[in-house]
Amino acid sequence: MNQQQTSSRAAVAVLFILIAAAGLAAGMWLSQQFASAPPAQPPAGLEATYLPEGRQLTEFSLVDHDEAPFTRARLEGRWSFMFFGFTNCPDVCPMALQVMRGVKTQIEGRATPPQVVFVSVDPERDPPATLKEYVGYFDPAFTGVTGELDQIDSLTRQLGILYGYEDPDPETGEYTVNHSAQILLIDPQARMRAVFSTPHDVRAIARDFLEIRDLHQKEG
Amino acid sequence: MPRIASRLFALWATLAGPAFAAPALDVQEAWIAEAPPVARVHAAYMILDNPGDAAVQVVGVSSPNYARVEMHRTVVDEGMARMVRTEAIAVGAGERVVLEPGGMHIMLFEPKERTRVGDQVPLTLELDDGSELDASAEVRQRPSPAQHQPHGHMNH
Repeated sequence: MNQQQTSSRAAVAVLFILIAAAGLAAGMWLSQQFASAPPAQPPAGLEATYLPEGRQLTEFSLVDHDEAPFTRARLEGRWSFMFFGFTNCPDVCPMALQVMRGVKTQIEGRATPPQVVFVSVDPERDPPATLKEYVGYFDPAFTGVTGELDQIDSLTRQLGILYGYEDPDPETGEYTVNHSAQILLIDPQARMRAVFSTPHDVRAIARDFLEIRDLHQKEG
Repeated sequence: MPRIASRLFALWATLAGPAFAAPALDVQEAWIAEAPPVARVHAAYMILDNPGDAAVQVVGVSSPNYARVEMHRTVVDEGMARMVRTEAIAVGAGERVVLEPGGMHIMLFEPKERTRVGDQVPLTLELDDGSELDASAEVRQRPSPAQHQPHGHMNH
């Protein structure tokens, strides 16, 4: 038996083992697919905080940057990313909007990207026209939302978003707004499904969204 | 001629004292994130290197392109983002301080004109020894952070 025969026999053996392993893996995969579906498990490896049942939102009444009503119905039938901030915010808010722009680009071509909603928690300085220009700079498809403070509160409370105003600077009257910095994912049934904490990572958010969306589709 | 000029220069530099000594800080990669035209506030970021053997503090920043300039630090505490105004940015001897998105930044109020990607905006840093340091910040598009590498250069 020469060297060449030995190595070709070994190669055949390796090939058989590979085929057997592939068959076993396929069988396991199929049995998983057809087994009576257990309740959806939160997928491992998500960066997001995932809410398996979701948190159902109740009605609220805000306006978008074109002064059209923005109610719960605007969150139904499509996925949404939401972020709460204000336009006099030089660092955190533009970063978050730029992140969501990047996430949208990552998702495009693989799925319909979620709508992006930027809710101002500083309605006094952020009228709809200002918001429209502000969010439109990042992406013309983004939606700026504002409204009466009590209506903003009715939404932020449901989502666990906090905000508060700092005392104005005695010299300039300028004030800053502290606010939760998470990006929220709302499912097409207007349920909060995931929370993305800082620091935000474009690729991780896009990957998590696609995974959560797949899971949602399996739920039927 | 050049010799006389350089001697005069050396004399003047000596008389001018510390204000003319080599800059106490080395400002690198100064940039301003392009912002929506409607934005009343902008942010500048930069790298401050202190090559000397004494700590240096930046105690003020000004720019002819803005009505007011402050130094701030973004702090995210239990998910809540706050901007904390700081009166000074200290750079220890031989140390580097990085001003970057999500951290320390120069907050620029009320731009006097629209700034666009590629513009150079003059900034003057006021140091604790009374000297001033001129820098130029390039207006750039804000990057989309990925892989938790705000200013890294790792390949993925």
